[in-house]
Amino acid sequence: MPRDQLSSTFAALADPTRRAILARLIAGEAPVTKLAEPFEMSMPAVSKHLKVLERAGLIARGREAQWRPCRLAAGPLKDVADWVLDYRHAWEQRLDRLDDYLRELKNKEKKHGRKRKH
Amino acid sequence: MAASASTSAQAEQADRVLVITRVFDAPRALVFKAWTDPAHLMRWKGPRGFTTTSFTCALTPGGAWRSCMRRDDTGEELWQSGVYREIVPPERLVFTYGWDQDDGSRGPETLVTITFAELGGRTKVVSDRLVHAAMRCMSSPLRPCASRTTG
Repeated sequence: MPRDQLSSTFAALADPTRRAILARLIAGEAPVTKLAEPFEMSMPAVSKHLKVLERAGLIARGREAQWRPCRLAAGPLKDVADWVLDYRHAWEQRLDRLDDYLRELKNKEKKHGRKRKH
Repeated sequence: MAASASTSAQAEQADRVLVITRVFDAPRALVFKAWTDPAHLMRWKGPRGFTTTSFTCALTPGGAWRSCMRRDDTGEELWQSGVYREIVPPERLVFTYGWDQDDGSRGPETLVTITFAELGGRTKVVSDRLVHAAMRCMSSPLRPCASRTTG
């Protein structure tokens, strides 16, 4: 099933092991064996996670047959950050407007309200 | 592929990620009304640069809502709609949200949950959106970078 890039990025990020792998790669590129070290997991299991990360474009792997070092690819992560910022920005603007509007309503109610405290 | 099933299952778990919280200096009943009364909604719904020109709704679980926003600079009209899933005055509102697409079809839906909490005369509003579903809404006309969707 074809999925858009951001969806596969989020799906790839949804797993704690994969996030830990990405966090490790921030320190620099590493071979699969190194990446597998902190996890109690078989190499095929780790490779599977790496494949998901690679498909999502979050990591790139070297061509050397044996070593195949992994490194972080920042592009998709930036897309995620951008999306979240855009989304948050649009909602913050709406809520700013709501805030102004509620103030307006309250002032109106004060003017018309018969039951005023104090 | 073997990985895809588990991948989407994990994505489901990570759905509820984006939460926005705001405290309003207004009583909860009034804030809830501002979110549910069309006359009120039209006054604030939509980011800056947009005017809400129409909002109709059947405020009942299963009832539909539909709204039009006009872009102030170009006059372009953007329609959104959805269905109310839960209405618990004055504390909780759950509805689906989707944009009409250019071809007239309805875009993918996201699920929005708004909770209203009393805070000593003020009201804390928490907006919680199903993020993974929202990803498929990259074609939201509010976004200038819709081209990324196809990446």
